[in-house]
This record gives sequence, structure tokens and C-alpha cells, in this order.
Amino acid sequence: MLLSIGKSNPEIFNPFHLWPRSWSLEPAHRLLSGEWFPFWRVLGNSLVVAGGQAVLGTLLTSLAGFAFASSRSRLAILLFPVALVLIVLPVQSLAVPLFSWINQLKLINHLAGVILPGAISGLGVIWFTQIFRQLPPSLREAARLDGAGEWRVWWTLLPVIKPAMLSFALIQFILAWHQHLLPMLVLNDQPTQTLPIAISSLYGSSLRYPYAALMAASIISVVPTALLFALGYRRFKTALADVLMH
Amino acid sequence: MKRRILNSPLWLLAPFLALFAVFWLAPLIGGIDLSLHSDTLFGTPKYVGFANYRAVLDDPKFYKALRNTLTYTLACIVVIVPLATLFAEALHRCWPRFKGPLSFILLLPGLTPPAVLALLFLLVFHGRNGFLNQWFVTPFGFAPIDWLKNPTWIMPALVIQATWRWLGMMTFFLLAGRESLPRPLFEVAALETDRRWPVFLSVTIPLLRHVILFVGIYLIVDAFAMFSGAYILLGGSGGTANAGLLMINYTYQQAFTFGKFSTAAAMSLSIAPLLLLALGLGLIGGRRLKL
Repeated sequence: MLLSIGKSNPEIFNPFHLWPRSWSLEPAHRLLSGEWFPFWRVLGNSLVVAGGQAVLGTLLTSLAGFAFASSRSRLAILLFPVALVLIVLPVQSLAVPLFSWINQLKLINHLAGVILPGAISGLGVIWFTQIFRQLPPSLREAARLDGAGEWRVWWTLLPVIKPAMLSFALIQFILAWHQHLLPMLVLNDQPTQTLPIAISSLYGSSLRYPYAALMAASIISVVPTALLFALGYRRFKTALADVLMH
Repeated sequence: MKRRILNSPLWLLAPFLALFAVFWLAPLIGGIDLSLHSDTLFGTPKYVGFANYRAVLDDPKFYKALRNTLTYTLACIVVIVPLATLFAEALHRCWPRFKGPLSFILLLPGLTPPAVLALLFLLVFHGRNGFLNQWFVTPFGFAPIDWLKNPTWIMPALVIQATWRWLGMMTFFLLAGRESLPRPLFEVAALETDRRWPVFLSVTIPLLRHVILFVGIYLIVDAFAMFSGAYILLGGSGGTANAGLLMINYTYQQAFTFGKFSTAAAMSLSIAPLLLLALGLGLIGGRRLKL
């Protein structure tokens, strides 16, 4: 893939030419200058969509997880399966009715139309319930004795679960970055599109575009997730082991 | 009393439940409503009761898509879970300096957006000049396989793509679990036998069953929600003889290619109980195994 940036179309279609004969960065240049789609704008959209889902999703599901972990009431026991149902039937599987609903809410071509549905994650609720259950109850009690309300208790406990929060935000970011169906339906205008959608529409009419540009765009589409993952690698692995093994 | 209610931790659920109601419950109810009405492009839709569901259940293509999705899911699990378990064990044993970089390289396909990955796989699967044919099929004296046109090979192609995408991520999950297993256990096992396979089969795997179950559920859910890979590889259709038609792709096709929104809604709702049943069975089975 990396090698293909400099190749011409016929060279890319020949799998034995691993090394390009002549490097030409011209297609990559044309891509960045927005010849086919407003590249920087689209990249920005993708970052906003994925970042928004990660932040909002982490906050909401950590609140929910805290509530489930610290409440023994019957209502909580009744509501917890909601999280399981959400895992099995994610928002995406309701894509068709969701699309008409978002249309009625007038959120078509708004990034919020992708971010808000993406922020509810059943996985997150289960993840944070598990994490908060593992904390020693004395921490919670101590905060309560100081007269803190539940919101306040949640807020003071956040620094304690920072690794788990960052790990979940990372997962959520990656999943959001990869979304295809919903952004494709909701974000119709090119300036509002996300990167994977713009790239796959670039492919559309096969040989009109140099494949090298496609390859360049593909590489750029991996960079943010790869970078985040590389940075959080160790922390992510420990948090995963914590959640999965207990 | 009033103060206790106001101070209940359940209030912290409110923001989550609010979004859940707006973006999951509302579309679900909207979808049920939609599925009970006729498909009309113009004019007001008529109430038709369960006619759309009957049409879905009479549609041979629906069963084809369902069968394809089940085959795809099962194949993904059968291929990926054992491979990932082996890979995780191998990585765990390999030289520590290589462990990080190796698992990161394995992970890269899983970090690539699936739509982009599928575009690259168009080159890999190309009918004559694809990477797979030129490197692994023709050198062994076989005729090149038309991966994306020949109905026999479409499903294997989809599974190969899924394996390529998920193997690293699942290996990573299992590796994280493997590394947190208590070391003394293995030291005791090493006193009993110095062969590796028995230890792997009767110590490592049972201890990792939580993670293996998690990986299995992850793959099931992902396989049922699979859309973009098949959508791009097969150009939005189900491929030759619909050999690669998956459920979500079929619903998409019904709604956005044929304009039959009500039928599509009925279709997505009729697989929901099935999926819930599958997960329920999985969880009960898991509890039986004392997970």
C-alpha cells in the first residue's frame, strides 16, 4: 500500500511489481489539494465524528455504568438488560427506520446525526459497570460521607478509572472512525462526508482516478487510529485484561 | 424521603437513557410502524397488518441471505477463534522485544476502516491478476480463481477478508488475557510435564474461556452487522447468484435500491428475535460452563 503511492495504474495492477519504477507524488498532491473531494474538510469531519462519539459515549456510558454498579434497586436490575439488547441489536441494525427518523429530526447532513446515535453503546455500559464494581466500595462511601451527591461522587471517581476510560474512548473512536452505513445514509453532501465514505466514492468510476491517490488516501485513513493505538497500547492491554478476566 | 429519591444514583442513567430513547427506541417503534404499512412512493401508505412480514417470509432471497449470514458467522468463528488463540500463545512465548511490534503489525488491518480495506481487497481478489491468484493459486498449477464472480468462491473471499481484518484484534484480546494469567500455575504445570501441547490445551485454554467467549460474541455481533466489506467487494449487489448476499446488505438493497422501506423494516425486525435467541443461548451455555 505504501509503495503504491508512487505507482501508475498499470503498475498497481501487476502484483509482481512491488517496488515502483518511478516515484511520483503528483496523485497524492492532487488528493490533498482537494481535486476530488475537499480533503481536509472531510478529514476534519471524520475526526469530529469519531472524537465526538468517543467523548460523549465515554461520559454517558461511564455515568450509566456508575449508576448500575452502585444501585441495588429493582429498577436498575430491570434496566440493565437494555445494555445487552444494545449489544445484540446495535443502532446500525435499525438503519432503515433510523434513517427516516433522523430525516424527520432534520439532522440529515449534520454531523450530529451520526454522533448522537453512535454515542449509545451497550458495550460501554457493561464495561464501566464492571470497572466501577471492581473499585473498593470504601472509595464511594468516603466521598458520600463528605456529603457529595451521586453526580459529585461519579466525578471524583473519574480520575481513579482513567486507564479504563481512555481505553474505552479508544475503542469507541476506532469503531466510530470505521462507521460506513450510517454516515453514508446521513451525510449526503460531499462537504459533510467522512473519510471512508469519500474514499469509497473515489473508487466509484474505476479508472478515472489514479489508484495511487486512492492508496494515499487509504494510508491517511489508517494514521489516526494506528497512532492512537500505538500511544495507548500498554494501558489498553492492562485495562482489557482487567475487564475480561474478572 | 424526597431527598433520597433526588439523590438516587439512578439519575445518572438519565442522559444515557434519553439518547437511547431518541435514537434506538424511537426508530424501533418507527420501524415497527413502518413495517405494518404498505410501500407507497406516492400518496399515504395504507395499514396492511403483517403482509410485509408474510412477504419477507415467502421470499426465497431472504432465506438465502439468512443462510449466507449464518454460514459467514460460523465460518468466521471456526477460522478466527482457534487461529487467534494459537497466535496469542505464540506471541506470548516469543522474544519480548518482538512482542509489541509484531502484535501491532497484526493489528493494523483491524485499525483500517473496513470500507478502505475492502477497496484494497478488490486488488487482492482480482479475477486474473489479483495478488492472491498470482502468488498463491497459479504458482501451484491451478487455474486462477475468479474470487468475486464465481459463486463458490465469494463466501470464502468474504471470510478471508474477515480473517485478515479481525485476526490481529482477537489475538490482541487473547494476548491481554494470556499475560494476566498467574505465572505460578504454569510453573506447576511445567513440573508435571515438559510438553507444551497438553499444558496449552488443558491449562491455558480453560483459563482463557472468558476471553474466548468474549471474542466469540464479538465476532458473532460483528458478522451479523457486516455491511461495508460485502457492499464494496460485491458492488452493492449480492454477487453472482447472490452467493455473497448478507442480511444487512439485503435490507439496504430493499430500502435504498428498490425503495421498499416497509419491507426492509419488516426484514430487519424479523431477524432481531433470532439474534436475541442466539445470544441468550450463548449466555446460558456460558453459565452452564461455569463461566
